[in-house]
Amino acid sequence: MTGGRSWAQRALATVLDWIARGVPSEGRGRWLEEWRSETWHAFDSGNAGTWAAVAFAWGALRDAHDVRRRARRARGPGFVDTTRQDLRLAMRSLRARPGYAALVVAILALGIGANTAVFSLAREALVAALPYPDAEQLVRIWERRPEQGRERNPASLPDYVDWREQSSSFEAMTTYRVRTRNFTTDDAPRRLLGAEVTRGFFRVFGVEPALGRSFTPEEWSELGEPALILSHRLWREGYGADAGIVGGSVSVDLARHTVVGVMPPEFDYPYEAEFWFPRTDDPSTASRGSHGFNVLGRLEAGVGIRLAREDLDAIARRLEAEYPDTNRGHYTAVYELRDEILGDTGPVLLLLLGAVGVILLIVCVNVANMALVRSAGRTGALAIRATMGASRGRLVRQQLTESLLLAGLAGVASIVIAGWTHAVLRGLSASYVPWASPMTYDVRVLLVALFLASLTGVLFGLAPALAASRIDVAGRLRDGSRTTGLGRAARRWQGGLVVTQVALALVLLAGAGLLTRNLASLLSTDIGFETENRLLADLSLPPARYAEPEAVWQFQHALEERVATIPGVTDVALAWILPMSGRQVGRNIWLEGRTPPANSDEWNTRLRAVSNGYFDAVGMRLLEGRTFEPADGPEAPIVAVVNETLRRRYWPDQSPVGTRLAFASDGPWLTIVGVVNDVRHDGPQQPPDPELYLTLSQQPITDVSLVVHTGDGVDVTPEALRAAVAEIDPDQPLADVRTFDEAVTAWLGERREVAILLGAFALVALVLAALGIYGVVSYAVAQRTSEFGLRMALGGRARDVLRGAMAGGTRLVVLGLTLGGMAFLPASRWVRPMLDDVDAMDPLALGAAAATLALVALLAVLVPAARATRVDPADSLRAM
Amino acid sequence: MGTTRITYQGACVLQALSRGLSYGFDIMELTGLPSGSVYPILRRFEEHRLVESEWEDADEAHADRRPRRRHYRLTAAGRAELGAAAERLALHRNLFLDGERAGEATS
Repeated sequence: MTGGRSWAQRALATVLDWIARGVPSEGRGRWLEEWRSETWHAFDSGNAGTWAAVAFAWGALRDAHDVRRRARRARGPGFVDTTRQDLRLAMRSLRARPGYAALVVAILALGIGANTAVFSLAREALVAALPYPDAEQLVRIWERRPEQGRERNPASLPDYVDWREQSSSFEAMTTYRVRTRNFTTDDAPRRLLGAEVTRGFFRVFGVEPALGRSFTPEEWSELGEPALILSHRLWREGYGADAGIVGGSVSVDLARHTVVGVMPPEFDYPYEAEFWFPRTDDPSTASRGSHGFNVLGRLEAGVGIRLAREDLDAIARRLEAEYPDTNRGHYTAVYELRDEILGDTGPVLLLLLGAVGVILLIVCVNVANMALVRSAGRTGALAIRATMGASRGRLVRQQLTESLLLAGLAGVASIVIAGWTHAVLRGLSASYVPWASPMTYDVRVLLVALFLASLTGVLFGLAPALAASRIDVAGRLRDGSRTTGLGRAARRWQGGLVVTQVALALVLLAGAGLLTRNLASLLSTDIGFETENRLLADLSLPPARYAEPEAVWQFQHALEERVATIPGVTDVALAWILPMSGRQVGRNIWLEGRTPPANSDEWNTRLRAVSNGYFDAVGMRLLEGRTFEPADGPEAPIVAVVNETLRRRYWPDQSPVGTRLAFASDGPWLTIVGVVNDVRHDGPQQPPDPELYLTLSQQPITDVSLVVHTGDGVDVTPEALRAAVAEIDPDQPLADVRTFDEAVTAWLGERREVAILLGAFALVALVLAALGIYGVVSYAVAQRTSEFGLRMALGGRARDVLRGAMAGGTRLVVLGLTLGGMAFLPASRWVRPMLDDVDAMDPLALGAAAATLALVALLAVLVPAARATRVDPADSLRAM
Repeated sequence: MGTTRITYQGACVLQALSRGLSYGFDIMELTGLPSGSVYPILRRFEEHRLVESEWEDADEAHADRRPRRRHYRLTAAGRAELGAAAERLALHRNLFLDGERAGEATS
């Protein structure tokens, strides 16, 4: 080997540089210099090759390690060494008690997991913006009628056009109406939900089609070929994501429509819209009295909601003066779109956040308690460590390390639990955060979990560490006994923890009790119709094939007959607008021979149209007159049935049967033939509306629901119903087959979900509190074994011994219940928005909560206390 | 200086230094010890003042276009320690040469 440096030598030089980083800085320069020089000379002498380089590298590594070790020894143990040592110690001591470790990790993971899930849901709901550009400028605009107490009324098209043209607060404004249409897709006919939108719709959102284009001015005016835009989902699932479909045509309600665009996947307003049709906003196409247009706007930059509302109200005043018949008392309301979509989710989430927060507190308290009891069993070991020279800070640090290790393990486990909880939350309530994506393990969620875990670790590590640091070393060692107990300070800590736990559990139980009672009262409300064994389905007949009333009636009669032949079906009916469907159509009525009120809105009533068998099929009761009959055909006089509320309003003292009413001052006139009972159309919490029933036989309505009443235990499948429809018209889809029970449950949705969730949290709290009490009392009993044994030996009665053993625990429970009751007073306001007709201080619910907790708590005192009476006096005396 | 425990390897290093070798690499070559052993030993000895070291003049090394070297030499204490170690090693040597005598001597 000659003067030129070999690659081995060069590589060795690099490796040496790298190894030198591990050498303490004060000697690093000289260390490196010596190694460089020695290896240089070795290679220079010519008898060093690749293997020598490897040997040198290995040698340098060992030398560096040696230097490092000696420097460390000279300096004393550093932070990392101590931590490593503490960790080793903690792991060893946890391995010695795997049950304890597993229980602590499980309890902590439960608390942290639930918190992480609820926090991430809340973050999505309360913090995350709508997925549109500058979404804070998006508003929903309503018509407001303060005199009637109606805050959110849809607008009429002419009013909307006046708002848009006369206001100066908006960059853009638009309207939409939710529509269902039958699509003939690749595989089958589908009835889908979408919207009919007017000019400006996509501009308001600031979102353009991902494929193709938006509507042209001609299309917005409904001139030329009918056009539509598809949702990304429909394009993918119905048309195989075929880009060629843009510009082509699809069949909607049996008519050809040109697909001009496909929206991006994240756009599905309103609800989960699958399509958007253009509708002309020519005000002459709708009357000023016909309300049904949902108005959206995008505020000009810098314009606030209040300014926009004042602007619109000024226009509304002008319209009132100009059109007193239709616009008297009509104002406007402007709300942020985000809040409108969220609805009353905010309070729900706050309640859940509060509840999981309390759970986490209970978890911490419980774990702290367990750690405290555990540290009592170790005071001997700690005392020895203290005598061997361990400082107080060092002992505290060892305890904290153990706590943090447990918290870290729990943090990892809690990610799994958070995933489950989140899935359950989402499953329960897809409606809470309509735009939320399924939970992704993003870094923030992880950080939240870890932060909570370490906070918990510090919290529950503190109590036992403080207790341990106050150990009276000399006293402990002098005692020399194996059983060492908690000092008085630690016992006070422990008592405080149990009291806290009981108090917190009572707060949750009281909340859950109130919600449960509220739910029970809703469920026991007479909703006015039967839902058991009733199947529902929706269908809308396309106008292209069913333009003639005769065709509609023919189809509907055939369907009723066909479905009635399915085995197990007892009643079949059709209805336009079912209870708890969320739909409402109102009209003003004129009563024959009466003066109309000054404000025509006062004569507003809700419309329904049903087939003849409807009242029987849903178990409604006829109170007066008759229901619809086959004789009430298209040619017969038009008949109507009213409900009790309508009857009470206009005919309080007489029968309405035989009187006439109309939807316009000049008729045509309808004759009332009967009165039926009220139903809770908008759910049990809403009072019944005045309702007017028409017969479908006289009203050719194409958009109806099928109601099928089956016998007990009979299973009529959706397929059987679809087959019946297909026999009459194979192109006709039947949508959303469901049971009436499901529909009602869905309507109670939020109330039920919140009650279930809070109930689950309360149950967890109850179990944890019971565990905590049990642990404390059994510990206390174990400490006093010899005392009890002595008392038994001296002839003490079992009852007295039991009373003595229970006294301490009972006092803690009573104190906890008292504090919990006091804490619930301010906490109750979180529950109040969720209550319908139960008072937040409902004595039954609160009493039941307190009684349940007291019972469980006393049981948790009694079981370990009873052990005191079974102490064998001889044993305990020997142990002394 | 009885506080320093001299291992067999340590004794080899001291012996090499007493023969006049002064660089780590030369000691490695003579004793057959790996670099990972020689340098830690030298450092420990220096700490205990059994050896002392000196850096070569930088200018001189620079003129020869090579890195400057560090050379080690025994101190008086190191020499004394080597003597003690040599005696001990001589006993060990007897162990192998004449097992029975060594056995008596150690018992």
